[in-house]
Amino acid sequence: MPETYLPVLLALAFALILGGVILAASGLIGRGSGGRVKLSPYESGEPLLDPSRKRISILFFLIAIDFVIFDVEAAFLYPWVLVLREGGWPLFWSVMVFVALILVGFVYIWRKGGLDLKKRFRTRWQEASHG
Amino acid sequence: MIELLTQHGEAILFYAFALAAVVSAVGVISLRNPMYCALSLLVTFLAVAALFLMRHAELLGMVQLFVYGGGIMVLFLFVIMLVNLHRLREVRLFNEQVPIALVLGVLLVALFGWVFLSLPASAPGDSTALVSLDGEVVGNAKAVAWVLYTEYLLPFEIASIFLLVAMIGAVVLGRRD
Amino acid sequence: MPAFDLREFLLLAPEILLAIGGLALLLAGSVGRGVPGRVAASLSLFFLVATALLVLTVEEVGPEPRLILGSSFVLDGFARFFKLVILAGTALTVLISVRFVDDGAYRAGEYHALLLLATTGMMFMVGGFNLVSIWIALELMALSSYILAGYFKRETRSNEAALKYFVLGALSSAILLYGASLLYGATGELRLDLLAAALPEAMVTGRLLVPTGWLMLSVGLLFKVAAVPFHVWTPDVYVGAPTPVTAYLAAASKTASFAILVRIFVQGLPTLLPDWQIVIAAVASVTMIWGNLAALTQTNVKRMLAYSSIAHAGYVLLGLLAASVIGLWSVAFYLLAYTFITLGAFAMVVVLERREYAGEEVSDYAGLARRAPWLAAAMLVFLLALTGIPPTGGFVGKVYLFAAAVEAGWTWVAVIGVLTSAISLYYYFSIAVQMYLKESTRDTPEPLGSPALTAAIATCVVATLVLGLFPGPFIEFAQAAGLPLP
Repeated sequence: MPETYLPVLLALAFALILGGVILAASGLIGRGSGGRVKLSPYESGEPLLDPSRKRISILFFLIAIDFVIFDVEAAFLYPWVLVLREGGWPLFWSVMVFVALILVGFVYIWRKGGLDLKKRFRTRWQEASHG
Repeated sequence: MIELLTQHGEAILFYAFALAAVVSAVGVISLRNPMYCALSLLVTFLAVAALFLMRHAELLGMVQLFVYGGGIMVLFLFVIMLVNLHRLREVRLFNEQVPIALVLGVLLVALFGWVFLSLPASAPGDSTALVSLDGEVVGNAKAVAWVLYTEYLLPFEIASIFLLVAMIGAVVLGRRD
Repeated sequence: MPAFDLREFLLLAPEILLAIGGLALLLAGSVGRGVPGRVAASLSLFFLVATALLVLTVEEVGPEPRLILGSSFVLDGFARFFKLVILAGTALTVLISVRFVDDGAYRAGEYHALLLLATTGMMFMVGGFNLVSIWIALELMALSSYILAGYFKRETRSNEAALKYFVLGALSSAILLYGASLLYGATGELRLDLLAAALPEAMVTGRLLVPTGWLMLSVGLLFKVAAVPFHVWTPDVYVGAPTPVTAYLAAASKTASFAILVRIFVQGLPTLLPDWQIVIAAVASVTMIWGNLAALTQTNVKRMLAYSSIAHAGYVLLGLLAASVIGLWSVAFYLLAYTFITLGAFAMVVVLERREYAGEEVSDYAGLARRAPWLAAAMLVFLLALTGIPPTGGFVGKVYLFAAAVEAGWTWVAVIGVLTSAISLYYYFSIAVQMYLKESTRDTPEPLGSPALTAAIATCVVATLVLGLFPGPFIEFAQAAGLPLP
């Protein structure tokens, strides 16, 4: 049965070869990079005036966590379509229970402001432009 | 040459992917730039997914790609983004523990190697993946799906409560107040 | 056409009700300004009591255990007993938490929701008959516990507790699961009874897979019950977590983990009995010795109780070591008594705690006998019970555990148990000395006057004394928690 995945293998090989050829070509033909001075970050030609990294809101990370959770939920649901016909209504309702429980979690996140990026960052933007 | 390839094709592929997985796994912990580590991790996930596919465990391979390659990679990238990397580069963590860790790691590999090598060998193409239901061959994804939603229905539902608790945890521990 | 009748789900009514309770509290807490602490606690108690009633009525357990839902779940006397013990432990935790969670200005809705969902996980755990069911329920309990341990977000100790618990817990779960997968690879079975039947042949065909598998499985399980040398997480987690959560971990979580340890070993690995008896004997001895010795030098009461809890895991392992009828019901009886004793002791810590963490040193108990004589007497009862002195349930439990070990031929381990219990007298009574013989200063904290706390402490004291004075009916109750022995 893995013979059916041969096209995937060919695609993988093609991607590797293509990437390798491009890198090799640019390494051989192109000019070298400019060294440390050229690679360091700059602001309009001057060195960085404010070297400290701004703290990023943890809300992004929470969104990423929520994404993983729903991704796992989706992974559980993908095989459902294969057996739905044989399973009939009992299978349908069983999976609906699964979805309902996750839905409770979603409602909870929503009510707790875990999805409110706009409100949080509009305030920051206003502060930044007025301050 | 072609005969060699078709006869040992599966073995070659297995060793290629296995090598890729091990090398990139070592790369995750040893490379300097965190972005390279993250990409190395992605290569590990892809190699493992390929190994799953080779063993006829297609559902697991696809889930590996979605959840690990899709979700977990995103988490890693966010962590790299959130953590201040400039300061970390000067700090060498776990200096005294590296020799012990190496020794223990080698011991662990030796132990598991002994366990697995004591078993009768099977060809790389052999597979014990579930592919049939009631004697009828339906393919791995459908077979596992059926077993998941019938025999293991209760763990499936408990898993949904588990995911719910994970969501609660993310909000409770991550909220500003 | 599912593999079983979906109406069998009705037999899971207790767990379903408890899960619905958790969800209800969660949603109630997310509406508006959340749920006030007392309302949340009352709701929790309502659901816990209702669930206990359902456990008593729905599960008509006959002499034969009943497998349901494609054999991933079992209804037998063992599961029923432990479910009731766990529900009692959770109810007492709810009572202890009432003022505590509110005082710290942390949300009560999610707290109780997490408690109920963790308990749901525990109930599925003790009823699981399939390594996968047990594991996923274990993970549910564990994840809820990690979050609860870190609930006091503003306290560094709580963050540390949650992080350590999570990292080590996840590692041990992974080891457990890997061991289970090796066993599955060797036998092809995950159901405990089929696994047991397939083991003799698998030990030949699977070569080293079976020993490696069950050793890794044991490591994971022993971590959960905090046996030495897998106990490293316990002191820091118990100290850092909010005290009601510590009480919950020490009582309910440990009980549930012991239940699955016993069930997996007795019903899943009976062929390996001689092997695991040696391992358990070694682990139990080291645990009793280390737990008691380490507690001797502690001045922080929570840390002392953490080490004591580790030592008690060692005593309970003696019952499993015996692997006899008396061994099993002595484990059940001791866990029943231990739940009340531990919750009572931690309730006393809550009584004296202020600003989330003050009031944890042994010296804070100074003069308690004069300030609050009834509370001091209650603490004395708990200390007697922890040491194993009559007329408490702790004494009765230990007697039967040691007797079971001796009867099975493991006399030297029982001797270690008796000696270490004698050693424990020293540190338990350092608290009693503070209470009765020392004077309180201006800095000593005043006891918290909360009706819920008082009710919880009173219940625990009464339970401990009743178990010690009239153990008969409870021993019969524990004997219902039997398992078919190899």
